[in-house]
Amino acid sequence: MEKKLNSSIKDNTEKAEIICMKCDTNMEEMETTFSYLGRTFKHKILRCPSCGQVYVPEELAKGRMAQVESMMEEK
Amino acid sequence: MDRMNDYLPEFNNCLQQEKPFCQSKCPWDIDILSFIEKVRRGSFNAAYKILQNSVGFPQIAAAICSENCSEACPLVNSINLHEIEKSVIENATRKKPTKYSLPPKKEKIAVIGAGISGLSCAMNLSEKKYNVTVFEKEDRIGGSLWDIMEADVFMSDFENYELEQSINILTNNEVVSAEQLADFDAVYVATGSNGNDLGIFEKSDGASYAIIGSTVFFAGGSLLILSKDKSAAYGLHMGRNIDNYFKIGKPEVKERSTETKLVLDPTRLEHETDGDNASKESTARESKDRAVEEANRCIMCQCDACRIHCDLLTYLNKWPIRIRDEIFATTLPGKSEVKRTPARRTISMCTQCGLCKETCPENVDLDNYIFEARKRMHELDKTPWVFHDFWLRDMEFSSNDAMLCHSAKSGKNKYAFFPGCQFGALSPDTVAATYEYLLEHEEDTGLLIACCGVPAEWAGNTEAVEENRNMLLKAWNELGKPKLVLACPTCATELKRCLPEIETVFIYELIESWGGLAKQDDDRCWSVFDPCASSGNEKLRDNVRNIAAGMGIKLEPLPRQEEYTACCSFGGHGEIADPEFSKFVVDKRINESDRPYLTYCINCRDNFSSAGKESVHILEKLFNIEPESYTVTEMRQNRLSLKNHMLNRFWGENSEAEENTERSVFFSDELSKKLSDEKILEEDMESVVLFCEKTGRKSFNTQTGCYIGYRRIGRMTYWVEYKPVQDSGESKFELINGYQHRMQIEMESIWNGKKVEQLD
Repeated sequence: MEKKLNSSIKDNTEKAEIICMKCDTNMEEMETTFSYLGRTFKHKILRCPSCGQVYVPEELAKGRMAQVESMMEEK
Repeated sequence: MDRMNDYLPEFNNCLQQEKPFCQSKCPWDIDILSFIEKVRRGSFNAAYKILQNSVGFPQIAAAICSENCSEACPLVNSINLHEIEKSVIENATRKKPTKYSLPPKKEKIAVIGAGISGLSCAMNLSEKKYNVTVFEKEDRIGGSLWDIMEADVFMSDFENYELEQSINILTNNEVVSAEQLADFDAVYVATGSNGNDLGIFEKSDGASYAIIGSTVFFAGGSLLILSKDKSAAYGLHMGRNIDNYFKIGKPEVKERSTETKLVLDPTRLEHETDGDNASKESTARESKDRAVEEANRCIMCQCDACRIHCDLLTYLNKWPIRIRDEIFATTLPGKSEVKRTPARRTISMCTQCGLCKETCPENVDLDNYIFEARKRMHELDKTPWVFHDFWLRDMEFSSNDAMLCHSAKSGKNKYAFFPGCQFGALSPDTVAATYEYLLEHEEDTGLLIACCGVPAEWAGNTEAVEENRNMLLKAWNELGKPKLVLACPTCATELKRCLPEIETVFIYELIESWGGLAKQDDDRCWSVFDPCASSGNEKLRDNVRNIAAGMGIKLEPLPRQEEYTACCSFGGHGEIADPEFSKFVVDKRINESDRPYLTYCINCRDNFSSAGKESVHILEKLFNIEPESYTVTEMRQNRLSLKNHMLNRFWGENSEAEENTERSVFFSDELSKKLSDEKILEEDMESVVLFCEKTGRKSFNTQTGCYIGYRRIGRMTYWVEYKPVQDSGESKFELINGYQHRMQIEMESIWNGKKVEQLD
């Protein structure tokens, strides 16, 4: 699991790498579509280029994402 | 069929928009509440602006005002508004009126007489960019103002408006007949007392205006035998009426009402303080202080009976009419892309305690209006699902896995104990002890542990209400239609609403009638906290107090009136819609008294203990059971354990739904608390971990060394960060973190043009 197949993210000795365990591939930032209460949004998040598995970190879920959710609940 | 419209007519009687007494008697209709509020915070320029917008010429107004407001003031020592106004005029530094850039209008208006009424009207119309000409027979403007005040005072007011620049003023120009003014579209005749009316009254047939040729002539000012202040105010008022005439094409003179329907809460008068007795000889600084002091003495007459008690109105800083309008707009059919839906959250926030109606002198029922709006929102599919999802899932659990319906050993059920779903979740031992107590007094008592259906009711989900109702009805029939013994006031309200055929009695009434209560060794003084659902049920409130007295517990009432029962924040299930509001409500309740609370709703007890307030349910107190707080997961487990315990203890049976004691995912206490605060069930976390392990669909964080995975359960997406437990020999995991989001990740099953394996 420590194996790094794709080191596209450079200079990030401190930054974590997220590896898709299913495909053994580094996840890459990709535009991903989300939907909530009948509306769709796009945001760049880490996604496995092979199987499409994504990673939504807690900071994103509780930060920007929660803000947008809250806005949608009022619209 | 929703009944929202049934509650609309009462809103028309809402007294909140009624003017305060002083304002109703003010010829200029000054917005006194707003004026006082600005003076209180020392904003003299803002206060001056209010004055200027209402009266036109503040210094003249202050000089000619006949102070009707003082007489109207309900205080014994009435507020000296006149002094406050003078101080505002003295201390304001920005006196130039706001100029608006409007296109000039083509209509020509003549004003006859450059007295205060004529100039007020001319100023008002000139501000609206009409072409205004003033005819004055004397060689100076001001009319009778010259007789009553210093010329430089009123002239400075005129100069602030740059009257002579914006209006064509023709002095030494007497108009003797209406024919002279045939070129004008409208004329305001303010020629003073005994002045020339240009034939208006002869032709008007009693009205104060007449159409002569193609020109409309309006009479005003002292010509109508008005006092100085009324005459000035009438000029401004006629400016608006003439403007209105050009808009609608029909002359109309709307009289301003000087009545108000406001009813004053007498308790306001109890707080009257003495007026300012300081010397009149003072500097400007002191006059400012005196004005602020006097403004602070004002009791701000307005009807706010509901606002004093309703947590929602206080929190949102809104009035019932505004909420009604917002809800009305929100519940109109149509997609929210094209409709404004300002009350989507508000509708789900209300605690449904009903205090607004209880306290309203006009019976405006915002509570039931919101209750019906919830149903319409559900019907229109406009309620954000997340607001009620957790509780609907909880209800489903209560009415299925955790449900228990059992006859008494005798097979006959005179009574059946119905503790409600949350009692078993939050105090399972008390449910068992209470049932045992009931059996000791009446052995023909069955047991029905299920949900009353109120979560569905609060979600406006009428289908789920109906489903639960049928389930309850079936169980009740199976038990032989016993009288249900209730512990929860909310269950009582809900059962009365959806199953009125079921006869019920509160356990507290039975306990009081059976008596024989053991004295408790407790010297402290408690306060009974009446749950919101006990509103209107004086008998229930007395039962509880009598039981407490029977146990020798000393009671002191809460400071608020006890018939006004308030919600602990659980009501309406508004916590998910607005957690901050929920916290606001709990904080308000627990700070009502320093004494510990004795309550008879387990949700009140739990909300208070979770917020750090010592509180106990009266049945916990009676059976000496220590109150505890649980996580949302433990609350579910408690219900399953209770079911097993009851079956085993009272009937020697085992539950079909075995408790899941074998766990493969472990949590720290800290994480359990975090998950519970976010209303995440540990079983959901566990199922995500097991899903990731089973499908291999997981990722790995090289920095934390954790596996990461996610799965959508219901409509929520749950995330787990976990590690395998070393040397466990089998598949055991430790959950390091868990969280959730409401958004759905799209294109999950189809990726790169190919369909990946089914995720579920």
